[in-house]
Amino acid sequence: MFKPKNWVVLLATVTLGLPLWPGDTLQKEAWQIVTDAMRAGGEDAATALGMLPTIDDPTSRTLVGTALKGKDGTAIASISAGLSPAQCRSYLADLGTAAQDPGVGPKIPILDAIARAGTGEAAEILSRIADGDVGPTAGVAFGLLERMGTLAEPLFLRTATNGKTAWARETALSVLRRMRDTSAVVAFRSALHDSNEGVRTAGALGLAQLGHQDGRQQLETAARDSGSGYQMDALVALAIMGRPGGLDRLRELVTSPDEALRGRAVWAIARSGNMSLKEFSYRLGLDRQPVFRSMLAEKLLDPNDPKDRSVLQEIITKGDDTSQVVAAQRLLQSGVSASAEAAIARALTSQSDEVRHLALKVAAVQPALRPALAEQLASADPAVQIAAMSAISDLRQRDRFIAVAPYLASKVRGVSAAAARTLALLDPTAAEQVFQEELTSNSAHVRIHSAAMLLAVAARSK
Amino acid sequence: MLRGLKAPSNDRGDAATVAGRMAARKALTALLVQTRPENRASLLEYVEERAASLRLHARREGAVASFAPVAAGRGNASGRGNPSVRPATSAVRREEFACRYPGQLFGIVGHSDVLDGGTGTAPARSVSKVEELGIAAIGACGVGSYVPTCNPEFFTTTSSSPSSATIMGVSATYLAGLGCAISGSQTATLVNGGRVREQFIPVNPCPPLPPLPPGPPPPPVTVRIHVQQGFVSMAGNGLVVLGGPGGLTTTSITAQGSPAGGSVTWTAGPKLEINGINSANASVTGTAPSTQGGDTYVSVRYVVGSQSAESSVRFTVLDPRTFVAVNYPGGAESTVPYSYGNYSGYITTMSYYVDDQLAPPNHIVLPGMTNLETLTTLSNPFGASFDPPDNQPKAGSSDLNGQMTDLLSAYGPGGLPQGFTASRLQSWTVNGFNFGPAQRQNFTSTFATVTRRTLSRQ
Repeated sequence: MFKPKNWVVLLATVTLGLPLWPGDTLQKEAWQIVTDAMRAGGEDAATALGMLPTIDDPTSRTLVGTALKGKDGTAIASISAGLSPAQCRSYLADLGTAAQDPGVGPKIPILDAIARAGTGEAAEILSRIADGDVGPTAGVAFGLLERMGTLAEPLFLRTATNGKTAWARETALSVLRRMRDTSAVVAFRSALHDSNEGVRTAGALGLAQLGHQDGRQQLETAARDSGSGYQMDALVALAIMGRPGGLDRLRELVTSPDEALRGRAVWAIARSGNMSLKEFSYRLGLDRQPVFRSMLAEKLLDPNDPKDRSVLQEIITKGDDTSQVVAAQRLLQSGVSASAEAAIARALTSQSDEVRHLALKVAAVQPALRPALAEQLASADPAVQIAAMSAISDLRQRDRFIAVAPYLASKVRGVSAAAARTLALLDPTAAEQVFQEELTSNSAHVRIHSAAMLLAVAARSK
Repeated sequence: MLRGLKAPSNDRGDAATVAGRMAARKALTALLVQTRPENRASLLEYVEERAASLRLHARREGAVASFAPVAAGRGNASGRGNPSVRPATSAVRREEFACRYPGQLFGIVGHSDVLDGGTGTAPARSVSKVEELGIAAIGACGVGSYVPTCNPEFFTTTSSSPSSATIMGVSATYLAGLGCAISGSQTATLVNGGRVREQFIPVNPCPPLPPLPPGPPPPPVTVRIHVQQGFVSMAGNGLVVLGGPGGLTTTSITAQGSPAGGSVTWTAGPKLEINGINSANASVTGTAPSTQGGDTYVSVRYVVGSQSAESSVRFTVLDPRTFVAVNYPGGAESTVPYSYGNYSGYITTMSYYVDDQLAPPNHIVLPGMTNLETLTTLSNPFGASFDPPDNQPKAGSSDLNGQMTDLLSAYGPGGLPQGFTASRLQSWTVNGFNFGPAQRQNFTSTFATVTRRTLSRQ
């Protein structure tokens, strides 16, 4: 429920058709639909607010700007979800303020929008949030920073050394280890003197991964602690360092009757990326076991190594569905394309949600797979439908306009919104007609999407 | 100025009114010092009037047994209590006056006459001795009410024996919304079955007529109902939701009356109960679901003196019937990465609304509705960590938009391997009601999903 707030006054102005919007009757009707939904609260308000940034005109910008400066966390979250990366950059200061205001929630969509800005300033904001709390918000900020990659590395280095909480220092060190950042050696070493056990262990593991043995004593301590989240990593690191009996201990673990223990041990071995452990894994036949094979393919096997590449190729033809996608992803990263692309295209139609979505993730970042993705419009999976429409937009497949149009009336809001955006991009003139007809749809979200995109098309034409 | 009070009509009157005159003089002297110049003429008229009244009382004093007891007065006219005669006991009197304007001065003079002798048979009663006691209080009006300044001054005039009397524990107290109250107890030792006559004489510098020229007219009595923020529908109806144990079940309502100091009485329509029926700050609870929006009401009556005002608000009693995942089934679009120490994974946000009983059902857009989820792991071959852990209920509540958020998180050391799967069974209690059936949460390496869009109240 979006109770009277300062920006609702603006809504009233819009509804009354005052100078903010000098448009014709149709546009006023469209604004009426959008603003009524915003006032109604609930799901429809979230839908309308999410579409608002799409309308690139002064009225919409004023509403978005005012709402983002306000205290209505639900409205801010809804708008944040609809911001493009460029808009995220434009509103970054407001998003940052909202994300750090304890009175504004939920935070996650706001943090996600900040990350989408993709700038150093955005990373700085997330870093402050990550170092300011220990709850889910900070964890998500760390996760998003990690996804931002090298842009965030200096901030992780700073937090690893100067983080306010041990939790923040430990998390930053762990991320740096996952990034295999060689410039983090100083931070890892410094961590060995931290008063917190977790921080010391994270530093020791970071050093071990880079081939330094400074933290070995700390790793011995962690290896003895069965309650530590680091035990398995410490055992693997010590085995790599040549600890007597280290490999035997790993062999025990990967052949344990405990399924979870086996999985975590192989996963730790795979994540180490260590060549000697790769040979160890081959010797144990881990590459022949479907679950483990997938882990090795994801983290340990090198597509540029002939032996590993042949294993990956074999997985594509003989492996289970998940392994096929994982192997194909690795091969695509090394430029091996034909068989890998075919495997991903097959997986897009898999009956398994997990496999289909793994394939979707790969296809979304592989330009060569865009046509294959665009062909999946008829998928029963809404996520695949949305991705297919995104591909159709990217490829400017105007001839698919008719095929996309029915999806505007989809019961799934995300699909309907994606269809509205795709139609407007493919053929704005034809889309206006479709949107106009759907202003009287029985479905509220279809009316909202149509009204918003009608306004968006009109704004673009100006 | 006080000539009127010094001019008794006869000896008996003189004796009977001596204390009253003294008290009145003292109070009026103080009043005149403080009274604004424009009011002094009115005050003088009043003094004259009071002097005549006192003389009249004195003439009647031997035959007043049938007079009604002094009643608590309110306002100029009724505040001038009539004298009465009754047996000597403790006495408590209260005088109240409505303020005409801020800064108005007022005075109250009380006196008791202890009458000695006489046969007690009216009207052939004679009085030989009198003991007189007096109390005066002076105050000033605030905005719409008395300011809490009650300054009692005590004085007694004692006649010759054999009569004697004492006043015990007399005080003048400011009572919120009532004004100054003079209270106390008195004892009298009487001779020959004598009686105590008690009289509290209000001395008010503001005569009823003509209306005071300065100052604004007294404000009209008004009252407005404020329903708790966030508990009003778009149609303007107040909202209250039904709930089970631990659920949100009340909506706060506040009566804002003007001028201040009045009394409040709430009334509830069908399907509603009010807690705090005479309190400005009350709450309303639903007893049965509405059949349509705004089909019941709460009203309030606000009384100040002889004036009153009423106001009412229509209400809807909402009944949670279904629990709907609006971003069903979750998935990648609702997921963000998550890092925690050595652990890495994701959080999938599921957004739920509670739908009501109306046709068609609407989301219940109220903040503070409670929820409680309990999970048990069905399958976790990789041994990932979940939040909350198994069988540890996790509480939440709805936001201003009525939305409830459930964060489905999974993470493992160094991340979750592709191909990771796990599943959990989730039970919901929403606003104190059980919703079912229990649904399955499916976790993959990159996101989580749920298996039901809608859960129903069990």
